[in-house]
Order: sequence, then C-alpha cells, then structure tokens
Amino acid sequence: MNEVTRILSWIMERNPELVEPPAADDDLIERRLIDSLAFVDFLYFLEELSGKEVDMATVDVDDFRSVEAIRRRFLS
Amino acid sequence: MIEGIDIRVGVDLVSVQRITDIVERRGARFLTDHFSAAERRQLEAVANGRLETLSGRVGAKEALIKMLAPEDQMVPWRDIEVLAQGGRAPAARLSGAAAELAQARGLGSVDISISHEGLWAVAVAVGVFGSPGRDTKGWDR
Repeated sequence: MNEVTRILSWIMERNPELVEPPAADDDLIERRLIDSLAFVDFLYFLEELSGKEVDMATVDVDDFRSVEAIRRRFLS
Repeated sequence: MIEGIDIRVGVDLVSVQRITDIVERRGARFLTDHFSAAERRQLEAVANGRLETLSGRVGAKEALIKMLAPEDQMVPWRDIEVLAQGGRAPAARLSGAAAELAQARGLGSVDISISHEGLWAVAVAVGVFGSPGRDTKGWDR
C-alpha cells in the first residue's frame, strides 16, 4: 500500500460516513474530514509515513488542505 | 456591547474519549509535544479525573485559538499554556505564533473557563481586544 493510499485509508477510518475516499484535490479542512483533534494524530501518522519529523514552525494550513498538498509537501 | 471595546469569544467541546484514545496511542509524546513542563506537572498532580482535566485544557487551547481566529496560520497548542491558579479560573500564557497573532489582533486580556462532566469537557475563552499593541489590561475585571 503506498503512502497516499494509507492516507486515504486513515481518513476513511476516521470518517465512517464517507462512501468513497476524498479526491486528491478535495479540501479536507473545508469538508471537516480532519478536525483539530484528528489533526494532532494525523501529524504523528504523517511522520511515520514520511520518516521525518513535522516541524510546526515551517508548515501552514495549505500544506494539509488536500491529499495532493500533503503528498507534495511531505511525501515527495 | 460597550462602545470602543471589542470582545470576542471562542468555545470548544472536547470528547474525553478521543483524548483518552490519543493518550493511549501516543503516550508521553503527546503530552511533551503539546503541553509545557508546568502544565504536565499540574496534570500529574490531578488525583482523580486526569483525562477529563487534560481534555479541558485541550478545549481551552482550542477555544483560545478560535477566539484569535487565525486565517492560514497554524497555532500550535504548545504556544498556549493553560495553568490552574489555586482555586481561581485558569490562566493562559501565550508564546510563539499564538503571541504573535494575539499582538496582531490587539488582544489586551483573556479569560478562560473550563468545565467537564462525564464524557465531555468544554472551554470558553473571552478576549478583550483593542488596537494592536494597545494596553487594555485594565478593562477585563
């Protein structure tokens, strides 16, 4: 399973009402698929996926806005 | 509303179960990443209802962030220290991005109130705002 698929699985697990995974450019924050508490856990998950620590001082909201933005910022 | 005084409110409701789940999964790292040493000491001293207290503190940080209404900026919980004050309402001390945003917004003072019951904790932050850099500390009590 690649990183993007694992991110989509993570989102689906936490949003059981979803019938299909979000598209790569769907706004995850606008759709409230990752709220503030989930975000804390998501950062740890992202660190596990990328093997790198996420420095909060160097990121902004847009880095987490979509699966594609996450892939570009943290997994490329 | 009192003319010339800008009061803004933030509120947050936290599921104690969700905080419990994060603590169980992430353990000590969750606490050290998001809570200061002073906050952790206070939490360790809570004999009963530590997870409820922790949930309330998370709620207070989130309520304060909502009150400050960041746009595209991330405000880490670590930048908002929420400490009990011996029987009085808890107080918040801001640093880093939270302090910068508060300065930019013209925050003069902030009061926080936290409550929890059963599976839920709730927190409210009420801030008095003036012009950026303006001292409004005398307005809040």
